[in-house]
Amino acid sequence: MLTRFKGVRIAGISVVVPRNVSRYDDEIANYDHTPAKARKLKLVMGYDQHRVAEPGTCTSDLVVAGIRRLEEQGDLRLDEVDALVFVSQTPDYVLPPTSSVLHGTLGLREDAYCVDINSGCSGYSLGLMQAFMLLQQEGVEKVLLCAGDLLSARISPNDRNSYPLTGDAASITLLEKSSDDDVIWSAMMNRGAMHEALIIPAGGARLPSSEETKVPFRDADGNVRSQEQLYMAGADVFNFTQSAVPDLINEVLERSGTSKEEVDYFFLHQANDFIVKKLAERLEVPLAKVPHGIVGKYGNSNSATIPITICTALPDGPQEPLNVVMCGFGVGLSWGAVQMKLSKFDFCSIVEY
Amino acid sequence: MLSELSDRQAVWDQVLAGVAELKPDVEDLADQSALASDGVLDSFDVILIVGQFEDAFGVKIPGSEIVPEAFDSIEAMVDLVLRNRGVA
Repeated sequence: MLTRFKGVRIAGISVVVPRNVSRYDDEIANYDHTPAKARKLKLVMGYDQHRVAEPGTCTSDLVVAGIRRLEEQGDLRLDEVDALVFVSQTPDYVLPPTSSVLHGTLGLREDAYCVDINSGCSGYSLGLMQAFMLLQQEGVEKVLLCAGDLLSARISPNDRNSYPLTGDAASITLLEKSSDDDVIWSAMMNRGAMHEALIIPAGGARLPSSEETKVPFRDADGNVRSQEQLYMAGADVFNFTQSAVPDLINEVLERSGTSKEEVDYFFLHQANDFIVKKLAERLEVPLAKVPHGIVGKYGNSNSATIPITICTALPDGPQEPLNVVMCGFGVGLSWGAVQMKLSKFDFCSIVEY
Repeated sequence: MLSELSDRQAVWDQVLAGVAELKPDVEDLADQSALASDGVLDSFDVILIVGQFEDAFGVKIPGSEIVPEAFDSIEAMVDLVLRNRGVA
């Protein structure tokens, strides 16, 4: 679905990461690699440090901490928030929705629209589109998009495919109506036939949690994990990204009549450095326009990687209007791209929890 | 023709040496025909081999060509390198 929006701006982005750092060099013994191979992979994939939340911490805890900080700084007034969109695969409960928990904890107005979206690496694009749609309505002036995951707790520490690159984080993006006339182009795509390529097989209604589903086993890729932990068909997901993502970005740019030279930054989901660099090559754009290296600083935090990448590349936010493309891709499988102008933010920060 | 053949042989030798260094425990590498499809080379091996090729031969292997069939045999890997050098 390709959509157009007008009269909306991103007013600010803040990211909250756990203060606990886990280092790849300390984890190598957990993975079935020779030391030489592990060292080479560190360079090629971009592994180094990733953030891991303390047990018992919820994604909403990071969101609340970030929002309280913005309130204290005078960057956000909660009585002005008309809607809250929470994008995550790690909700506080099966029910109620985490957006309801956040509504209560933050004391939002009773007429504030609240919704949970279960999505991962493409979730920031999806959440932005939801916020844009809301902001087309009369009476909706400000929307809080809260996107992130604490997924490391659901990944086997012996899973060499996923554990070294996974990071925990939550992001807060404030969107609001704007008098700008710039058009925002966005598109979401789905390939549900590949939903098993990224999956936690057990723990839901299809395969309820049991003693059996908790038992670790060695899978076909040589990773030791249980059915209650993440499985990623790495090669399939890689091949999907290399065709689907460039095609979608090219289509959005074609529809908007924008050349790649006119784009200042391509903020891609930070799956790992190898994938991001290969996408830059396929898009035929200079690597300088495709910020990367986030996996080795914070890890891959799914729907929070694009906000982290923006706040890392532009520590004080955009200083002049920038034409950017944001593109997330992953679980679903799904992928989404947003092309828009970013102007000066009211806030832009990465803080620790 | 002679130079093309000798170039292919040079690439073959280098590809074989690189893969052998990565997988010293695999016998008769040159005769294998399903290295990636059978899991002898895992996805991380493939990524490292791509890195080797890009460094050694100055090529860029497109992500769309990083598929198991391209890494099933030394022959297929030589084709991959030469194709992306514009030789094959």
